[in-house]
Amino acid sequence: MNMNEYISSGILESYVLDVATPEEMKEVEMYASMHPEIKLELEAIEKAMHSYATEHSITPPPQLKDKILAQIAAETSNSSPAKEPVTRSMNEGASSNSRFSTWSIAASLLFLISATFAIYYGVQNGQLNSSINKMQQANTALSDSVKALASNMDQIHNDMAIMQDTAYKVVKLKGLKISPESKAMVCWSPADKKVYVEIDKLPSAPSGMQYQLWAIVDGKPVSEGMLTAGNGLHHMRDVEHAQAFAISLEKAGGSETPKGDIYVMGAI
Amino acid sequence: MVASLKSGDQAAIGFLYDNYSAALFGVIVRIVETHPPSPSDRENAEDVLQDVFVKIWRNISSYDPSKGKLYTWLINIARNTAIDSLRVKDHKLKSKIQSIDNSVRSINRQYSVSIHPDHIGLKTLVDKMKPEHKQLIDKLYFEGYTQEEAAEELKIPLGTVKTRARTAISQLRELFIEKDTTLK
Repeated sequence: MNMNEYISSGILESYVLDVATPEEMKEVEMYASMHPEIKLELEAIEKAMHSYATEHSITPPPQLKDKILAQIAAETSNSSPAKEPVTRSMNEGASSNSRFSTWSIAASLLFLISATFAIYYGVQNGQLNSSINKMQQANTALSDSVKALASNMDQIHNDMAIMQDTAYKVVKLKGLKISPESKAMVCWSPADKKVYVEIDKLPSAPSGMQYQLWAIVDGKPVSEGMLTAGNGLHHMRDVEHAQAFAISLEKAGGSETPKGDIYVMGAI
Repeated sequence: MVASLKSGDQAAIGFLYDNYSAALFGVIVRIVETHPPSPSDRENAEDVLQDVFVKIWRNISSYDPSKGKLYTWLINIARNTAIDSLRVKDHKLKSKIQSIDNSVRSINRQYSVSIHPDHIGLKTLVDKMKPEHKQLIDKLYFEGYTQEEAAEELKIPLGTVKTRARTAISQLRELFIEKDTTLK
């Protein structure tokens, strides 16, 4: 069979919507296991329907979660999980909608037996291990975020010191026609020649492209280096006599003279 | 995730709840809602959600990842449990025994669910769908109609149901891809 024709017949949609006949379901599952393109198409349909369901979400009342988890916990301590009908399509028996074969029923029974053993002997151990794991993960995550915060604070302190230092001139770079929303700021000290730049807003550079900072010295652009991602002030090349600063979009690695569009510019 | 659920990890069901309960609740509310709406609708929906999670917990071993995504399996359980709850309620109300198949469908008609954008929240994306596409998808995906029933209800040929469902989902896929790209 031509797989494109099969895909466009609408049967995969019926499968995901749970409205296909049992025969159709088996057929779809068989084709999906044999043809990757069918599996991909199925996954794309599922993804769209999941997004659709997510768009229609309604958050249940907050106290419901505890109630439900408590009920499940009570079930677990009273008895091992037992099987019961889940969905019509899965459990109405072979005559109508079943996706089960004899083999899968046998497999389920086997699973049930082994699950019962596992639950009797393994459940407490498993729960303990999993809570230890979760706590360790939480601990690592917490210490990572503390480190990140500390390093952010350092950066902010340094940036503040520069911005408050009266030796530095603050030059605001405003967006040009190509991107009026863009803005950036340069702090430049004529005395010790240091240059720092901060990006407030710039469109993200397309792949293979990079933003480059220029100082305009006696009417000529002098490269101040390439801009890297990240918040706060970035230290750039020293410059002695600058009249303006500008940022242009260049090929990755930069150009000797600006060749790309200039996004922001500010005179001192 | 599925493995830890299958091994009986209760923390995993909490995680599952955090991630899927709102989507499942959205489906359930649309099915159990009566017309005109009654204050007990929400309560019923909450009871159904509870049943749904207990069923998930009990039956996770029958979930087969090779046959579809977990999300699809969960939505199917939510939809079917909600429809079953209407059936039970109907028996109580009428104390009348009907064949299961008939009653599910007749109840479904009685409680027939329409679209209520006010309680669904912002629908800008989904509103871009053609109304006849959205209507069909809602009937099939959220309300558990069969294709035959949808054909009858919407007064269109069965063949049109199949092709329209495909067109509708293709449109949805485009909309969501568009959304993903704008977010990037």
